[in-house]
Amino acid sequence: MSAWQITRKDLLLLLKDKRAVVLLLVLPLLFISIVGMSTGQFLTKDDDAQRFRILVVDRSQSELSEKLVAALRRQKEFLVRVVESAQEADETLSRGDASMWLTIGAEFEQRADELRISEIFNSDSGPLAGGPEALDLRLETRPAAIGIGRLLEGVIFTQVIKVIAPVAAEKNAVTRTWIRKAENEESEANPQMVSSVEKNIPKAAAVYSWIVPGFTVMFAFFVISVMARSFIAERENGTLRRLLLAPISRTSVLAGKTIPFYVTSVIQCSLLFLCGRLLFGMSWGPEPIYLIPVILCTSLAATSLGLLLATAVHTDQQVSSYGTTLILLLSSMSGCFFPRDMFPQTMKRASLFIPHGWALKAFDAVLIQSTVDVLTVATCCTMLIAFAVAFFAVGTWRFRNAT
Amino acid sequence: METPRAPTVVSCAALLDVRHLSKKFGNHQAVVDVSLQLQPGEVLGLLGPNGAGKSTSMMMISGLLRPDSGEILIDGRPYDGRDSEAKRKLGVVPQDLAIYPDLNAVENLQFFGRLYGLKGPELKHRADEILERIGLTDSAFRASGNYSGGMKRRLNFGIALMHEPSILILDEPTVGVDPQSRSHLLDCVRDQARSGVGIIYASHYMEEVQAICEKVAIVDHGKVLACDAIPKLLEGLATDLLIYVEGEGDVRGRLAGLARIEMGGDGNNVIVLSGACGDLGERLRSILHHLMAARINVVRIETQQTNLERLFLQLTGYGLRD
Repeated sequence: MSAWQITRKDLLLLLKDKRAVVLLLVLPLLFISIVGMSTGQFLTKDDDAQRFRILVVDRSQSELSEKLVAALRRQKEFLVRVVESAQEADETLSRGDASMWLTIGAEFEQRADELRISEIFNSDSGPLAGGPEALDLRLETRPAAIGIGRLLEGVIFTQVIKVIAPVAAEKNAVTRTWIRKAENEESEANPQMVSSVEKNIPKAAAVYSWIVPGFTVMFAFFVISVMARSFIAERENGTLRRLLLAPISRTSVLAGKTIPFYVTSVIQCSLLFLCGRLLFGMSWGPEPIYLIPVILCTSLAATSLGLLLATAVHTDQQVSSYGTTLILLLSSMSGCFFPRDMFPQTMKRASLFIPHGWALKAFDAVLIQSTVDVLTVATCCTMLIAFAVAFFAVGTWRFRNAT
Repeated sequence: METPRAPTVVSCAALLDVRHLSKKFGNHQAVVDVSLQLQPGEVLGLLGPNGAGKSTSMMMISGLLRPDSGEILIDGRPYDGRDSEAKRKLGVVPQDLAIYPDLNAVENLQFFGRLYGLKGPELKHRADEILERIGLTDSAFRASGNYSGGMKRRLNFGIALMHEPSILILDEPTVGVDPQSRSHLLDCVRDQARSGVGIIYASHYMEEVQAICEKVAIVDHGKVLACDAIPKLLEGLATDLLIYVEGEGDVRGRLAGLARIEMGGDGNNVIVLSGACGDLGERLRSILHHLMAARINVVRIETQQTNLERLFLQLTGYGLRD
C-alpha cells in the first residue's frame, strides 16, 4: 500500500519532468521516424531509398547493351540510371549518389556474339573465366560499398549471362528451342510471382521488423538513466531520508520507486510497436499476442537493471557517463543496431549473457518467423525474468547496505 | 466465561529514553555513551560545535543509523529503527531541506501524510491545518521549488507534523531563514510542546535554545558534557572578568598564556579572565602587574553576564573546529 503511494508520487513527478518524458517517449518515436525516413519508409514512402543505385555508361549502344540495361532495370533491388560519360559517372559515384558504376564497352556485343553456349555454361574455364572484363564490361564500386560490391558484381554478372545466353543459344538448334520455351514460361509466371511476393512481404515490414524491436529494446533500457536520476534526486532532495523514516520497509521503498518506471517502460515499448504498425506498417507477426509477455519481461529486466544502476551511482555525472555507456555498449553488442542475423555466431552467443540478447531473440521469434516459436519465447521470457530477479536482488542488497 | 481484563498499567517511562549510545566510524569515535531523557511537552536543546556528534546522535535516535552499543526506548519500548508503531511516534525535521521541489506544498504534505496512513477527508483536513499553521495556505499550490528559503523551511517543518508525532526531532530548523519565519517556526515549536509533544531541538543559535528549551544537553567530542535545566546550568557558571585597556600596545604578546584577548567595540582591547579556571584573584593581580609594567592604562573592569553561549564556550572551548 505504501509502495503504491511512492509509485503514485513518482508517476506524478515523471509527468512533471519534461526531460524524462522527452527521453522516454518522444525521443524513441523521433528516432524511429528518422530511421524510417532514412530508409524511405516514413512520410516519403520512397522505395528508391532501399535500392542500390547503379550507373551505366553505355559505349556499346547496341541492341544487346540495351537488353542488358533493361534486364538490370527489371531488378527491383536496383535503381539504374544511364549516364552520358564516364566523368559524370565518376563524379556521381564520388558524391555517394550511387553504389556502383557499370561501363558497357564498345566491344560488348561483338564479344558476346563470339561466345558459344558451352562457353557460357563453363564460365570457370572458358573466355568468361576472366570475369566481366572478358565481355568488355567494367565495374567500379564506391569505396564505402566495397563489401557489398562483390555481391552486386555477382548479381550483375548473372544478368549479363541471362542476356547473352539467348544470343549463344540461337546458334544451336537444341538450345534455341529450349531457351525460347523457357522465356515464354518465365514471362507468363513472373508477374504472378512478383505480385504474390509483394503482397505477402511488405517492404516496410522487412525493415521495421528489426528496426522497431532493436530500438525498442535499446530505448527500454534508457529507463535506467531516468531511474538512477530519480534515486539521486531523492537523495539530493533529502527525501530519501524521510522515506526511510516513514513506517514502511526498505523493500516497499524500492518497489514503490521501481514500479512507475516499469509502467513507463511498458507504455514506451507498446507505443513504439503501435507507431511501428500505424506509421510504418510493420508486421506484428503471425500471433501478436505473444508480444505482450516479451514487452512485459523486457521492461522488467530494464527497470531492474535501472534499480541496480541507481544504487551504484551517486551523482548526475556518473549517471550520464556510466548509464549512457552501459546503454550503448549493451545495445550494440546485442544487435539493437543491426539485424542479429548479420552477427557472427560468437557475438550471437555473447549477446545472450545480457538481457538485450534474450529480448531481441524473443522479438525475432514473434515477429520474423512464419509461426511463433512458443518455446523460444517462453525461454527468452524466463531468462529476462531471471535477469530481473538477479538485478533486483543485488540492487536491494546494495540499497540496504547504503542506507 | 468472561476473560479477566489485564489491569491497566500506568507507564511512568519517559517518552524517549536514550541509554549509553555509542557509535564509531572507522577509527573515529563519533558518539560516546550518550544518555538523554525526554518527557512529554519538554523541549530539550541539543548544543554542540560542528562535528560534536549531535547529528549522529539524532540519526541513531530517529532510527536511520544503528548504534554500536546502547539502546533507545520510545514510550518504554526498545526501538531499533524498524518498529512501525514507534516510527509513527517520531517526527523528524532534518537540517537539510527534505521536500520535493517539483511538488507543491499540498502534494508534499499529502504524500508524506499518506505514508503514515492518513487518507481521505482526514488527510485533507490535516494538510489544510498544517498549511495554515506554517503560513503557507496562500502558496499551497505553487511548486515548492519556487518558494523562498523561509517558506521551504516552514514546509520542511510542516511535513514532520503531518502524522501528529509525539516526539519531534528538530535539527537546526531555522538555518538561513529571515527573522519573521524564525519567529513563526519557534511559535510552532512552542505550540507543539504545549500540546504535549516532546522535542529535541538542535541548534547553534543560543538565544533560540535559551528562549524555547527548558533543558539543554551540551555535547562535544561525542560526549554529553552537561545536561540539565538551563537555570541550573547557568547557576554553576563561573563569572568572567572583562578588563578594558587603552591603546593598541602589545597586549597580546605580553599576556600570552595568561588570558584571552578580544577586540572591544570602541577599538580598545578587552582582556577576558575566565572564572572557570584557577584562582581568579591571583590571575587578576598578575595581569594588572603586567599591564602596569607595560604602561598600559586600564579603562574599566566589568563582570560578564552569564548566558548559555558563555556556558557553551566554557565547556567546549574557544578554539576553531572547522
